Amino acid sequence: MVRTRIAVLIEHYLDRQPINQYPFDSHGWTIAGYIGLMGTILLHDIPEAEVWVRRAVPAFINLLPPWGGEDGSWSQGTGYWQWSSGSNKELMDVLLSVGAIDAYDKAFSRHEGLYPIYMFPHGSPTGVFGNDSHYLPDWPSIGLLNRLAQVYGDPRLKWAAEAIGERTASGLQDYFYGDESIVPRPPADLPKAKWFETTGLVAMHSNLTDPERISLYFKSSPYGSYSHSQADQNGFIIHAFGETLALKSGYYDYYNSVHHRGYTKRTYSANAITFDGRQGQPIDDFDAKGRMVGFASHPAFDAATGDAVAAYRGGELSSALRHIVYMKPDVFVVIDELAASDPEGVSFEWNLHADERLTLNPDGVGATIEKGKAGLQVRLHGADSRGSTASVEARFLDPDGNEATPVAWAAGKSQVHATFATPKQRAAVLIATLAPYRLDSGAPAAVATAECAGYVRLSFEGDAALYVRTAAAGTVDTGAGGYRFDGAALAVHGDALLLVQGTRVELDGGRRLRERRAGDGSVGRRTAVRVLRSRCLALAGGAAGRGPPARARHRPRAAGGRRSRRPSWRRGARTGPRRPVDWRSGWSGVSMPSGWTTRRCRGRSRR
Amino acid sequence: MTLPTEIDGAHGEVSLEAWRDVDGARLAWGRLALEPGDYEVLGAPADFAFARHGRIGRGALGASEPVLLRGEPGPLRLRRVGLAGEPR
Repeated sequence: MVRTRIAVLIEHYLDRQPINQYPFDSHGWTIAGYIGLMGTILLHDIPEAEVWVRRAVPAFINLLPPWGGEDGSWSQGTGYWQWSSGSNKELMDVLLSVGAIDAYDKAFSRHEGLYPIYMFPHGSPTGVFGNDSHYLPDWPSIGLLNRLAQVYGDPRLKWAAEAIGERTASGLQDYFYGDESIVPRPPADLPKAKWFETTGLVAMHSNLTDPERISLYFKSSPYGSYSHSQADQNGFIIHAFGETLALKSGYYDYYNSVHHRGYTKRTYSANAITFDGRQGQPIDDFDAKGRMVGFASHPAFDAATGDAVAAYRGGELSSALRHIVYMKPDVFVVIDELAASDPEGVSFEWNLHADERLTLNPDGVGATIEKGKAGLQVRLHGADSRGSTASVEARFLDPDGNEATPVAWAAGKSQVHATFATPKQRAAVLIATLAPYRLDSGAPAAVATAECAGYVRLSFEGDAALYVRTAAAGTVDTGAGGYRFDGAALAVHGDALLLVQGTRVELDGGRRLRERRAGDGSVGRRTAVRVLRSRCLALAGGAAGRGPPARARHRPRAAGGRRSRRPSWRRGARTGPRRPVDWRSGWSGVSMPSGWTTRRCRGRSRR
Repeated sequence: MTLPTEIDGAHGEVSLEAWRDVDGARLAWGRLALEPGDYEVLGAPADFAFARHGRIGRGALGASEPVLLRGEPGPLRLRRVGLAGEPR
């Protein structure tokens, strides 16, 4: 029976459609692992087994994994990560136990624990991005985290497993996964935000340990909308206080169902940009790619920039940049720099989705989402946003406007969808603030808006501000604010600055910061600015934001019987600046300007 | 750091390990030894959370329940519920 079954699998996945030539066959790679698994087990028992091993195992271990890279992340979302990674451990463990190959030495494996810690942490009310993202962290995560904790001797991964729940015997391997000698420890020494460069994913958290954290997930992925990925480049998701607030809507009732194909995979089902009547990125297209071009993290703010213009394959858009700035502790700012290729312009659509309750603000330029014990206040700012038309839809509609109702396990489920559509225009800068809050503890964080010539100033509690450029390009002069900058936005909090997608900042008095040329020679719009600690500013190119912060003090320890390898994100990654630079040099004594009001501005306070 | 406890009227304490996170904020954690069952949280210090459940008023707790504390320690008061004669 095994011979017969393996022959069928080989014919399909190694002969007719060889997995090494078609690596993005989601189930195919897993099945290649099973062929290798059976071959390894039956080696020396049946003659065909050696052939199975020789054909399947090299493909499996070299592709491991097709869906992620050396940073340990997974492009197809948390749902398929938990299934695929669990299955893949079967061959990895068999190869390890027979002394053949240690696939846990691959960079992906060494870093894999970071993916659930950042993208699928305990307390998540749902998963993120991709099919099957409705699954919560549960026994698959517990098993995988325990296994990775065991292999690398990492107490943080063990804590992360325990924080999800008790060990179960639901997984095939669970009975031997884990190491009771490891004393669990929360991941307090890890930065609270992370950019996974190989898959174009960013997570920003208020903290990693509290299950009622505030979290934003942002995707701009080079893996396109193929297989279990969806057409949601530059989409974001917000969870807070254990609730889903701004969500990726639609259900994966089953693959390619009317609902899945007609709604869930589409761009308009995401918190992403569409245009001219819900046109978006094509589905099932590996080339519908996004690109995360910058990332920065600091105790006062995080920021990331995604470029999704290539994902709109029709060429209708000439700019689809999205910047997300986390003004800590509780406001996210989403800035879209959009432009149409057609001189007559398009109507840009800013989509927002909620699970249960979504109410448009009376002024039409915002909405409030409520779910369980949490709320999310969403406000659009600036002239381009203010001219938009808001609408709400409670049905799941396919591209032709026909209802695409979910079935099977998702039958009867509903969500709410809002769209803010601009008039037809050539370009727009859409600015939105999204403030999560607890319903039982009062109002969301206040954000004051001032619209000025060429920029919008958002002021936050705690004396923080974000200047957002509304002109297509050029230098922003904040006047009495005291800053001149070339970039999409400038965040200020105390003495800390963060320049988003920019190249230069000047302060009153002529002190000036410019970008350093990045190692790959890319400058200008690819440049992100990274701020390290308060009052310290570093400029970097594509490498911005890599590695844990300088203050990570605690390192995994190896215990007897376990391998002492430290994952390279602990072992090899540098912490903080890559050169011994005194970042404070020249910045000591820089103080914030005392006032925010400029005579050129029309200040409006909103709550 | 110790977290004083009062579980079904019995006073005790739990040892917590205390660190500072990457932003310098204090974080303490440990495990609460309990009879597994449903409990009502009668009182907890500010910024206390069950790692698995968050800030609950009532819920099912395990025999070695992981807990987190970001603020100052204060009494954690629990009462078992769901047993015969107890509130449900």
